[in-house]
Amino acid sequence: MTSVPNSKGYFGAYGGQYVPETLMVAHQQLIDAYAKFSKDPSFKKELKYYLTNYDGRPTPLTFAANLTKKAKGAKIYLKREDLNHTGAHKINNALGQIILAKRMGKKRIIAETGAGQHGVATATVCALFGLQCEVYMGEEDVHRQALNVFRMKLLGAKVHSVTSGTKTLKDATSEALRDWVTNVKTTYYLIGSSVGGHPYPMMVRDFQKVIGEEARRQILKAEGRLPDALVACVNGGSNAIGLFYPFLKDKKVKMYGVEAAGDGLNTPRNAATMAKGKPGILHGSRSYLLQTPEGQIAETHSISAGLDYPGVGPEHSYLRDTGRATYASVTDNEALEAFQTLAQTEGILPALESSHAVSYALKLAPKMGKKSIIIVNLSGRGDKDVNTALQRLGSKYA
Amino acid sequence: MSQHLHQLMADARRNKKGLFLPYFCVGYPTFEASLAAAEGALKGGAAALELGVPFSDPISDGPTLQKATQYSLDHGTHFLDVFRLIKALRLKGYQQPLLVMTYLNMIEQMTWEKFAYNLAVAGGDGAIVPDLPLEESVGPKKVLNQKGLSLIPFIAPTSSPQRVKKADAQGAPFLYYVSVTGVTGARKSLAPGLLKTLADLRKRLKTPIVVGFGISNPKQAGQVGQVADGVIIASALVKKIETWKVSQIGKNVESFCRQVVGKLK
Repeated sequence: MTSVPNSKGYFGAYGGQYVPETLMVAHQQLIDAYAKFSKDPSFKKELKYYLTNYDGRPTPLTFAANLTKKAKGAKIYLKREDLNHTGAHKINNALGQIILAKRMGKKRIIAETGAGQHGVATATVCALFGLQCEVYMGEEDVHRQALNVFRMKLLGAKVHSVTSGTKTLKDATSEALRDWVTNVKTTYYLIGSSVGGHPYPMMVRDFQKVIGEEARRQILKAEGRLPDALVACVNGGSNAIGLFYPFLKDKKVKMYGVEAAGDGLNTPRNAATMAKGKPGILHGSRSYLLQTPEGQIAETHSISAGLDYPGVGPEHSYLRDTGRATYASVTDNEALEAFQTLAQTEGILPALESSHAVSYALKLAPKMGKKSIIIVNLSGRGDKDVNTALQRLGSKYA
Repeated sequence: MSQHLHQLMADARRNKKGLFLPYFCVGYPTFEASLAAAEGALKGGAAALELGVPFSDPISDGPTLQKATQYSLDHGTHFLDVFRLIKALRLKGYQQPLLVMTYLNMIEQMTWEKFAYNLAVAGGDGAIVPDLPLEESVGPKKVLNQKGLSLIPFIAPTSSPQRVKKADAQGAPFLYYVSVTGVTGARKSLAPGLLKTLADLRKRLKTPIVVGFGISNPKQAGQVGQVADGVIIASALVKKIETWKVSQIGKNVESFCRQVVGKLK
């Protein structure tokens, strides 16, 4: 496999840099700054310092003995990104990019957020480094994730509720891009997923690959061998690419990305971009997209605000087309089921996003031998989703 | 590429006369009203038109155009309507160049080949695609040029001198100069230093320059027209259309365009 992306930001046919002229120079500055600083030992040292002493890395790789017993198949390990500071993998990337932004001399940081985890991570690192922070969030997500909105405000960020379009992550992303077009000279756009124009998908992957690097070391130590399968939820896909990337050359390790099937793939209410989408251009890159035949971006639905985006990171589109990774989907109900199962078997409340991955692992494990090993990326914790779960499941536990 | 558009812009440059190229959103507030608006503009002295096809995620547009394009989409406007509109204007005998403005995904889904075919058959002159950078435009430009159509490159206040040079070397009928670092939308005043920047650019660049984004009224258009080869008004005009009775749109657009063209003399 040749190294991707190429110098123009392409992962095979996907990626690229489809941005308005006003932002072209900003992207080039970012490419140059990232190339310079990512090779700088003092940058690496500073990032490592914060990942270790502030974020709490490495995160554990937990053998889920009870879940394994229940699934009656492969051994299931959980990569515990839920134990990161702020409760999800998003902080890995936020720390990397904020150190870059600081070195680029930017004083104002903007971000988009869906579930609010990236918004919280960005607000957190801005508080830490004393930078001004503004977060764009769709109005629907502002309601669904009220707690995260308040957390961001407590951390000193300004939260803009976005009322255009479908009022979710795609519109928040468009609005953040509009802000960046307007304030490009002073502002750093801290994108939270492996999407956007080059170099963002590559850069976000690089800051998230720590997940897979650790998991690889940890499983070798625990089992003396590599896993047979990796499972992670995918929307933009930063947690998944972070887990997958360090295993790409290990041909025997199968990779499964799990999308949100919402109400089901046979309904229009889903966010399964790989299953139902076609390649197109949105927010700076070419990738699979949920869209109408005419090219209007489709409305999406998932119980999990963090999986409710009509696109997917370009590197995932590439991994799909080359057959290196397989993409599956899990419905709202299945994810809710897995949410409860993990809580009750392991005492771990997963984020609804990560519950999609857990659900798929529970389907996959029985089809594999008992000596097989699965690593599930538990990308975040479920505290933020307790309200959503209460609405859906409250009567069951009354 | 469009010889007609080329000639028009080259003449403007030679005569030092700024042209007026207003923008209309196809299907806003109805298809017929957008046709009446376009017709009114051509009667009122517009040199060419920019006809916007709504896209669900218009990242370069401010609130006014977002609202208008969303309204148009919600009321059933389709991509093919822009070709229908162009055809209707040609049937009525209008000769002025007509440009389609939309986002890249729309054209990619149609394919550049079919888009170029549809546009050429309808009688259009070219395309303006804000999220298609120069680096990615080689293939699309070739497809358009083969059909006698033009692709309009953008330059912005943030463009590096190398990028401006590259845009100038495209052989396009004009360069679309984004007057503000920002999204589309009416502004109270022109961007600081804009007139001086434009005067400098016009001296340096062989390609005529048309200025858009943030130009709100005939007076501002007149100022910009002193130092540029053309002026685009979009949001400010859409905002007016918002307040006009549908039956009055054609007539009112015509009189607004006369005012602008009057200032450009």
